[in-house]
Amino acid sequence: MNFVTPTLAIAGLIAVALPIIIHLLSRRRKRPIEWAAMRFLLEAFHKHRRRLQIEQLILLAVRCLILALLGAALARPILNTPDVLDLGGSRAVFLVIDNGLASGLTDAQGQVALDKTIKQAAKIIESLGPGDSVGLITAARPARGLIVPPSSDHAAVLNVIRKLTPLQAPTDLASAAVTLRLALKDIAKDRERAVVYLLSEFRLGSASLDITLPSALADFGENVTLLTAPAADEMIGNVQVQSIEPRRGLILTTTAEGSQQVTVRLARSGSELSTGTTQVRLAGEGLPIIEPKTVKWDAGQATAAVDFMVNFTGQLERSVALSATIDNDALNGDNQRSTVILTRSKIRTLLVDRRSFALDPGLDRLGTGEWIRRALEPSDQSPIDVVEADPAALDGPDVRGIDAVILARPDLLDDRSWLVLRKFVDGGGVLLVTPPTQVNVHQWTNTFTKVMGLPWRINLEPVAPDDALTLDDEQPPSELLRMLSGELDALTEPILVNRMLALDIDTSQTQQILVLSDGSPLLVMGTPQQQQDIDQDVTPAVVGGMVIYLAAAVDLNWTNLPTKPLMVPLFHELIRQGVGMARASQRFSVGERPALGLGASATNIVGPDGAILAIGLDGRPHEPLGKAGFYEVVDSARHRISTLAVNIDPQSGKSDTQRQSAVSDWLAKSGPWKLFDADKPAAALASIDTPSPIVGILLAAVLLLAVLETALARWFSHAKISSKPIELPGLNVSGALIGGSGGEIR
Amino acid sequence: MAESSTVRGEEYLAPETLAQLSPFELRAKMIVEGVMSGMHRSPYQGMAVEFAEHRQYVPGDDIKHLDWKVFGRSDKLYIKQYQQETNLDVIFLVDASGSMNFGTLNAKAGWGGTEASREKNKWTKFDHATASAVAMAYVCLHQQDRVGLAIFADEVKVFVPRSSAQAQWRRIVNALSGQPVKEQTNLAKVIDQVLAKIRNRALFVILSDLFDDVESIRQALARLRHRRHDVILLQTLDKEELNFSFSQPAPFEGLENEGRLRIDPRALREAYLEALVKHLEQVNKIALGFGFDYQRLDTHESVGPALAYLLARRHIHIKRNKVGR
Repeated sequence: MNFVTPTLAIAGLIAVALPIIIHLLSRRRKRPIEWAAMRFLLEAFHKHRRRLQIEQLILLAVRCLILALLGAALARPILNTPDVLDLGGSRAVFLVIDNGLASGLTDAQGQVALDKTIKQAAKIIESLGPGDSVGLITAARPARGLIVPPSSDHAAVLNVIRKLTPLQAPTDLASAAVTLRLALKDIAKDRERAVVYLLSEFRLGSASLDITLPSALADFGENVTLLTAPAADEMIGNVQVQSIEPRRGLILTTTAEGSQQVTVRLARSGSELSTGTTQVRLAGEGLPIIEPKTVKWDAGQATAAVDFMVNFTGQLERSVALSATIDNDALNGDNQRSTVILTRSKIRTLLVDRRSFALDPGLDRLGTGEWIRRALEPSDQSPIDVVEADPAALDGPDVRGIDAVILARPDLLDDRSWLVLRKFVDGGGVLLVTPPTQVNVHQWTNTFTKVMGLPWRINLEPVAPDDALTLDDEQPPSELLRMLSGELDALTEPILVNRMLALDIDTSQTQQILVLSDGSPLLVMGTPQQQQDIDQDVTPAVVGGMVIYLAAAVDLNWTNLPTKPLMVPLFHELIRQGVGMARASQRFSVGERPALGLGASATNIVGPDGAILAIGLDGRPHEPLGKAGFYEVVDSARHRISTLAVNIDPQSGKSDTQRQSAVSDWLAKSGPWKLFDADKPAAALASIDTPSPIVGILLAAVLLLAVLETALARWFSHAKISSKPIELPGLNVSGALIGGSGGEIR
Repeated sequence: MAESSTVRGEEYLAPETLAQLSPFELRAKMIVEGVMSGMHRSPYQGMAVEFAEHRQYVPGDDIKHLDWKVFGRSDKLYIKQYQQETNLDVIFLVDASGSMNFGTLNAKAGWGGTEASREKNKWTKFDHATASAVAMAYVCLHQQDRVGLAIFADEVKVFVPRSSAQAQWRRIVNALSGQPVKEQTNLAKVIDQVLAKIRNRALFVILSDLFDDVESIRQALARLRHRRHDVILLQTLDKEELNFSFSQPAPFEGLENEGRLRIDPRALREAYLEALVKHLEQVNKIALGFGFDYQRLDTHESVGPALAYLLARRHIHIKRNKVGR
């Protein structure tokens, strides 16, 4: 047995001498009492001498024992062999285990990172005393407190840990820190000592140092010891499928687009990027076999792109599941990526505008809606069908089966209609909004941005610059106009904007599509945020659709766009690419609970392994999507509604090592982490003091002995009879006779 | 036994004490021998003043005591017997052993007492015993009795022969103004020494704490009873000796060279009191067995009431047994 503060233990032993010293000093100090009836005192003493001596010895022993035990308790003993008492310390040891995608990385010796972590965890648990408890938090998104509060059943905890496997979800140490904080708060209430082991290799995929960790563990003081594994320094090369990008997300089968180009992008990490090859295979459900291609890596080359031509001919009105796969390597979880490509014969668009009953008005009198309708339906063979609805009567049935809504008169919508549109967008629809020309003050803008959850601030009144504004020579890259990127400069050059309803945007959450020469955005695209996410300040969940805002009304008084060549391709691309991007599901990532926005008929999701996830009232699956692959959304009758492609976060598969100092600095933001020896993880634990139950036992014993001492001292002193007067009947007569004569008379 | 140069007899005799004693006379329960006229009946019958009884004449009797009137009426010879009032010899035996030099009551000015007790400013058992003896001696001398004194410990230290002279009281006071010694009490030996000097029957007033062996006390009283002496046993004790109410551990030192003993008084109180009470009961039983008066005096109480009670009890006892006048 060791002591945390051995000096106190020594002090306790020295203090044992105190009762003896006090006894000796008191012997010297007291003056003797002269006593006449000494013969009776001696007689009593000789009669009871042995009993008195035993009593005094017992009292002395109890007092000495009290001081010795008190000193030992204050010295906080640590039991090296807890089995002796069958009690150990009372530490709560939390193991935060990185079981994210990167934990599946296999090293040159064939050892998986998570297996190494499990071995460390086993060593830690085996070193604990029976009084210690163990908690388990897994860091794969979403971070889970698997065993919280901690359990004293070490074998059961170890069993759970040994069953852990690397998940495909990214490691989310920030969430793990929050989960850990909640667990530690409960421990802190009981004033227990807690030790936290963070077991991770801290490769780039596990710990992105760009993300700021919450300072969740900084304020627990010395009661909580934070220990972290060292960052791995072994370089392990890994190739991953970073993306699979069809040229269009939506294939129109009525057009001559039977073959589409699909680009598969690869990335390498974690090695010195030497030369090598990687074979890439692309396959799709119902598609003809696609010839694999090989990437030849040059030295230092980190990324590569492989183009495949895929023939979609004959794919009618369905979702085509497409997967790109590479050979197994150090990390298999990121060797495949999937996407869903929609095939349609027509795109259905709803134009929300007040109908004009004028017969063939002149071009200068055409309104926004009419210009757009003409742009989308330039001929009868157009793949885009346009139906119209009156803004004052817009309702749910109007948007049923619609891919995109063009809102030309937002000023006429009531609140209910706005909510209908919001639901439509959440369900994967594309909403294009232009300012109406009929009003001067655009009060609808507030409702628009608020209902859509967009961080935009649109002016209430249009501005008309003295000189018409042109479009900027360099337009930002945009997925929506990717197909026009080659001719975009020429197409945008003649565009003039005389009037516009300008807006301020947060460029981090909004994509600019077209920018004016003064830098202000003309066409922007944003993704609505869930109001509850905004309120709770959490990472916004992905919703289905998108909102496109054109700052200038499609009116010749505002811009000459309707009469320019850009008009038709612009709106076609916005609708086609927008619908393709919105309906395609490449953005679903493992570990998330995405808002699916598939309507009330979608009740369940069937995972790639056949597992069924229920969809909640909030339109999200009850459980996070745990595996990459294709998920089928089904209704209550198990009829397939759509197919989702769920992929891993490419960042989470990065196997690059990170400098220990950088990792330490990054971790320091969340709390005072200390490194432990990866080979001897339990050694750090042994040096942490154990306010073991024996301290409590010792203090309880001291208390018990103190009570015993008081009782014994009282009992041995016979204090209960000390006030009892002597009774000598018939002998004492003085009391009755003294009477009034007074006691002063001798 | 050192004698004090200062005589403080007056201090012993508080007027209140004497006032409480005056209604009673010190009466011997037994008829004492005496040559001087006094208040007590003499066993010597004959010429004295008061007729006692008739007895049949036997040859050798003095014929001057024949009751001729009875002879004339009954033709039988009877001798008239008379009882003569005589003086009482009272011997005070005062214990001056070491244990008597103990007291816990704070003494006040005018109480008298020995030099030693004055230094300690405590009213000791010896002070109380001497005050009682002086008061009783005064009463005895006042009623023409002869008074003697023996101060003792393990043996007689001072002996004042009997006398009824008025100067006798002052001699007694002088003798009692000394200090106790450190020896233990040996009552049997002391009684032997005193009886060697006392031939006629007397009243022995023993003032002592009687911290002696019970057997020694029994032997002493048995010898006195054998010589047909009357005895008043006044056991003088301090209140604290009967309470033993110390609460803190302390060393206790005997006054008769018993040594020092460190004890926790609370732990031993029960056993101590048990031993003390047993001793007191034995002494009481012995005294009553011999028909002697036994009275315990408490140094914390006044002398007068206790002695007045004693004398009243003796008076009643004598009248009940028709021994006195």
